[in-house]
Amino acid sequence: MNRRFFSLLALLATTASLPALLSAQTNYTAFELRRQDNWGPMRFVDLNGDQALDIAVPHYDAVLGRELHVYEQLDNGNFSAEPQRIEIKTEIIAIAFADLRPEPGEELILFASNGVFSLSSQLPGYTGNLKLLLQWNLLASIPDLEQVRFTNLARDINDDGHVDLLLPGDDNYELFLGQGNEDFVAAGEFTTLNADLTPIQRRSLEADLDAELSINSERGIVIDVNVDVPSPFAGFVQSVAREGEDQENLLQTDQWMPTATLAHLNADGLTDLAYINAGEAGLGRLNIHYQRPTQGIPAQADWQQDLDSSGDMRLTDVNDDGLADLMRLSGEGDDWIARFFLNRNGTFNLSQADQVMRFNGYEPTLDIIRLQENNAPVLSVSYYTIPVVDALRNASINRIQLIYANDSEMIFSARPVARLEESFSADNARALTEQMSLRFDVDGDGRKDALYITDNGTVAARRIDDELQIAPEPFWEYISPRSVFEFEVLSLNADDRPDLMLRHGNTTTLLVARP
Amino acid sequence: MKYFFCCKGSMAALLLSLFPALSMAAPKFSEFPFQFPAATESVIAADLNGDSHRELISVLGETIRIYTATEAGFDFESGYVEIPLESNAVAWDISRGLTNADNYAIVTLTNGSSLQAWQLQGNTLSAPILIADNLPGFIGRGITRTRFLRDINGDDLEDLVIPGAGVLYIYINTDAGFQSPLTIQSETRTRTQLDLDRLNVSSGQSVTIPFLELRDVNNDGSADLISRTEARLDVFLAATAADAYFPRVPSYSVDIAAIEARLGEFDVDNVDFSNLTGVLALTHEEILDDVDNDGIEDLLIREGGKVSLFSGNATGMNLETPRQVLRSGGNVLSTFLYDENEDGLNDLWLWRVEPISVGDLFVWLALSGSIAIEAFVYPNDGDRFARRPNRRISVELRFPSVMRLANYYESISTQADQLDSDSVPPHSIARLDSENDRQDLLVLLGDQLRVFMNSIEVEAEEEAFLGSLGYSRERDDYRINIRDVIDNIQIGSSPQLRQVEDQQADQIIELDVPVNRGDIAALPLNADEVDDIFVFTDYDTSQIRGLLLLSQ
Repeated sequence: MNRRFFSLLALLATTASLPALLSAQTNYTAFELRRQDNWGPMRFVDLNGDQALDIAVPHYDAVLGRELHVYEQLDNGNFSAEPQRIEIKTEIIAIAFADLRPEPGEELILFASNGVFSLSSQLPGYTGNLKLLLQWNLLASIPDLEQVRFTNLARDINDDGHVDLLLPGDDNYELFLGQGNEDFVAAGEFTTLNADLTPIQRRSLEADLDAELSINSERGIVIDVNVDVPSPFAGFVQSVAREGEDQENLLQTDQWMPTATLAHLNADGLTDLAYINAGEAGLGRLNIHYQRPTQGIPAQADWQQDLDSSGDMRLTDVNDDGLADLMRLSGEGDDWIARFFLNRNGTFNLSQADQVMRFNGYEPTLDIIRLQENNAPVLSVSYYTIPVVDALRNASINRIQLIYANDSEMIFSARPVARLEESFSADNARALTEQMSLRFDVDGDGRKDALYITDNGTVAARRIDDELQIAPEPFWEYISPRSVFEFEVLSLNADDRPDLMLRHGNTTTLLVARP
Repeated sequence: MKYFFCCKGSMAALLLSLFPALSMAAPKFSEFPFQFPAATESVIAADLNGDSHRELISVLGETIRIYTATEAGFDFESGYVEIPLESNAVAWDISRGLTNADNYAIVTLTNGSSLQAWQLQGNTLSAPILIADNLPGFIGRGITRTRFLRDINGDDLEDLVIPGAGVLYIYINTDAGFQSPLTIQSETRTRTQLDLDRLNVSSGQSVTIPFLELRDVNNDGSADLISRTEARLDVFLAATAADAYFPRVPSYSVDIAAIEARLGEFDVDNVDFSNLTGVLALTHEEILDDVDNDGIEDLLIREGGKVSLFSGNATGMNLETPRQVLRSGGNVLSTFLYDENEDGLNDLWLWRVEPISVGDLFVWLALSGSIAIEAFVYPNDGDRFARRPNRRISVELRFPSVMRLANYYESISTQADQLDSDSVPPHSIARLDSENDRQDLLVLLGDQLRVFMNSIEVEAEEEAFLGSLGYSRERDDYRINIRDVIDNIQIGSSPQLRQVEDQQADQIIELDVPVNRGDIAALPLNADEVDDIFVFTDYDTSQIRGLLLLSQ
């Protein structure tokens, strides 16, 4: 089931544009960004050190190659009409941002196949600007010559105020701790691959369902549905191609390893490492490395346990004890199960979930949210249902928004304390493009609001009271000339006023709150 | 349509196990226990020394290992030679015709620049032969089988196709050495994930570079080069009389980026929600095919509902003035060329789909539905297509509700997940005798290898045109029901097992070792016409083990 089906449905249901009428309780400076790929990646970074975040977006030109376009945020909350253009050389595979040099503002960190470099956006070109930070064979060795890829490999892992680098290599990760002045020291190397398993054993043996519906001149209309259950030895023995045999690809390579995740997993306050690799008997294996105060990350896992790792898995603090717990969401269609495994000072009992919750709906989304700063987190759940009677009578579907309160005996209350049910049909399908979000405080009052897309394609917000009930009417709405399909509340400058990013079909609007 | 018919796996195993073997004229085998290092990802069979026995080639770390084959078979413990690689960025291939047209050789491209060949003489590896140096290739890290050797111009000398940074360098091989390279854009596809904090997601990269599209476009007997990227379609006509096989610039080009700019960009704010399929007006196709039957490919360009035909000639394509322009209303889904009236001329098929509204999508969430697709056939008179179609074929595509489809998907996934190796015995098609009309089947059951001689029908490689619809020229209305397609899917073993489930095995080979995690692969290794058989029996952290059955 395509988990984006309902969003696509709403995307296609848009009607004509709306009057350009601004109606909001906050003043905003609106900047509309039009670029090559409106849905491509975007970063907000302070590159010139003026405490205001600038917009960095990728750009490709067939003649000039790849560039990074930077729209500088101005004093009045607007952004520069023309971007600064930074050439991205063909050897660069990915980019991050961090404050590495004494000069104000962040620099670019450029990841190439065999080295990591820094580059300042405040100096022209690369000569005298580019600096080698360290040599490293990156896991990915071929750059995409038309796309600029952003990555989050740079962050302060040991909380010393300096940016560190956790770099994936050919078959291992290595941690490099920043010392300031663009110096880094190695602080631990480990592999996320299960060294006890051979390449044969690591191969995925999950059944692969593949469907094709197409039109071509050889077979006319093609409908193929295939289910392959691979053997570990599939393709192990090959014959050199016979004369005239079709060779489809000049080159086909794959190199993958489990991803490292950073989280507070024990009570020492240091950021630890976790990853899931292959365990025994078709199970996954959760591995944890606890960061040492001076030695960094150890080579061997401190704790391991096998688990059923199918579905989506996330490390997040669900019981407000400061330690990351494990949340797993698995299922298909309209039958989903969420399992919560509590972190007990760095260990888990993965054979028995601490709480299991079942949801009957399509495309469930679960979030752990702290609605107010000092309150315990709640569980927000959103999904769609298709009641047959409603579908037959009105051709409509329902969207359900649930809130589960924190519970001292379980983790979350067995039943939701709040429930909002909305009906959608062709007439108001635009409201389906984005699910209601409880993650943002749109008016800066310290309380999260319920932000959503209205029937008319505008973005609005409703209050959430102390009983976790969502108000029936919005207290805030922004009406833009274009329908909104995606929204996010950001902090784009040093004031306390929330700012917003609204994504439309072909453009993006940045709203910087003004006094 | 393809279906996988099953006899609920374990039932097949049970039935097969009940029947004892008949003594038929099955081949005899010599057994060779084998073990490959656990890090071995694959082995490739090729005759490197011209003795009609195929060696086995594998990559271990930064070494290419060759298990040498003799009349007596293989010695997997010490009977191998190795090519040490001096870099961790090596592309390698197996060549026949680069240095010696009779035998294969291992060819390595190191750091994208140095091309060397390694030959096997008897069981001894020769010193490397430098073929070319200072090549401009770009090779990622790793030891990668890259199919960069291909005889492009049919002169029995292998040419080079070297990957660069977003390009391919084509070196035509001649008796006097390599010609200067032709550089073309390559449609490299990469998928990269490097970000942290994505638990249960892998980090890494996959890279695919499709091979060249080569065929004789202008009927001069020489293979021409068609290069397609997202922005351009370039055709290089072979110029065999010139000093370079391909010209340095395309013989003709289609600017696909310009076509897309003309059609306009998708603006979701202006979509007509009573006709969502109207967005098909933004689609385009470029088809090279022979319309006027002169052996030279012409060019068909579809832009939305407008179809333009351009004439190809011996030296290129007349792109200035189209020979014909046809326009169709409605939502044009696709076009292609196919000889409908069997007169030897390709006719134009133009497929349209009915308008689909947002309301339709909502109804289909809970109710089954149907979509009407039509093909309009414009007959080809030898020079151009008729202005109006002379035939309309209707296809009604019926499907269950989205809810029902989701349930089907869940059911199929669950069934597939529950399969394991005990449910489906490992099996493989093989050729164990000279019978060409029927193939043989090998089935691994427990510690036995069962041989079913001449039990498998040789499948036709291609399905008939619109075969899934039962197409005929006398019928214009068809229906496809997705529910029937799904209902006929049965998860499990292949049709081959079903063909032998009531048969007795012609031979049972008792394996001398227990089979813990088994599989079979059959291919010819020695000098006879009969396949030899790899029987995998187990693997652990140090080795992959099994038995090699060499035909006698």
